[in-house]
Amino acid sequence: MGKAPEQLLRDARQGKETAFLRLFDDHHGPLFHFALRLTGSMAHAEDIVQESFLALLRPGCSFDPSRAAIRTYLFGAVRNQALNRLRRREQCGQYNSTDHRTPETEALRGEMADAVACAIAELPETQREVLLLAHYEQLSLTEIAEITQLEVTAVKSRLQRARATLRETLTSFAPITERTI
Amino acid sequence: MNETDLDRLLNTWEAPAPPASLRQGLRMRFPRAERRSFARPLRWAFVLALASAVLAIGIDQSDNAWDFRLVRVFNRYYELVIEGFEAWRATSIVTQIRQSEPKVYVDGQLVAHWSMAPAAG
Repeated sequence: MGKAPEQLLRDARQGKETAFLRLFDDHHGPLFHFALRLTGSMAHAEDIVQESFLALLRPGCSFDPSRAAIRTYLFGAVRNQALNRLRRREQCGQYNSTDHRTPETEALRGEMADAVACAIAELPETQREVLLLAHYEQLSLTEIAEITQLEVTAVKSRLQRARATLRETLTSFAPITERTI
Repeated sequence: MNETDLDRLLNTWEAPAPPASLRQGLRMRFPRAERRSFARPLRWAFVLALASAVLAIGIDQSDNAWDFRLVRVFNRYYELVIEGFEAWRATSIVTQIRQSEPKVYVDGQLVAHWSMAPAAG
């Protein structure tokens, strides 16, 4: 059985690179996807994830294992950094979904994916992050509430509003979805 | 569009796997502990040696018997430390040689592994 994340973090703080990489390997996938979907940029997503992990090693790190799971803390760190960058760029509505489209993606599926990415990018920031965490990262409402520092009821309401908006925006794709997927 | 249709549609937006550069970049940025250089302990040894020499010369010139005994005790202690250090170093060097599984060649012919070779040459 592997070491607990808290133990790995203690080892990493003592300079053990293997423990740090183990922690990274266990958690980086969903964090990267979340950062990528939130910012729309591979470069930003990479940097944000690296920064979030490195922040754990800094002396002033606010992570407290008795208050939150490390996964929740890392999602919160990624979210804060992504939102800061988005605010700096001031281009929340200018999502570029093409920089991570794979060549083998089918044309129609790619078109739909672009439409979904754009529709999500057009959501208000508060709804977008909740939708990404709930749908794509499969986090529970309680976890999302911890990450976004909201009440569970507020998270639920934002998620419902986000889904209602998307249902309207993407309604033209509904029959295509049924035929192709 | 019902909830299932919406979920299916949202699932068409796939995120790629994290690139290898993410892990590599993180490794490069990992704050490694600074390796202790040999210069620092050597500096301390130099200071100690200098202090011992100054003390020895001073006591020798003062012709004080009690202080001279003190210096001899100090020197003896110093020799013991040096001997202990030398013994430890010799043992560790022999261990490292043994672990590297050295082979003995005579005229280009493999004679024996270290473990089979006689201890005395």
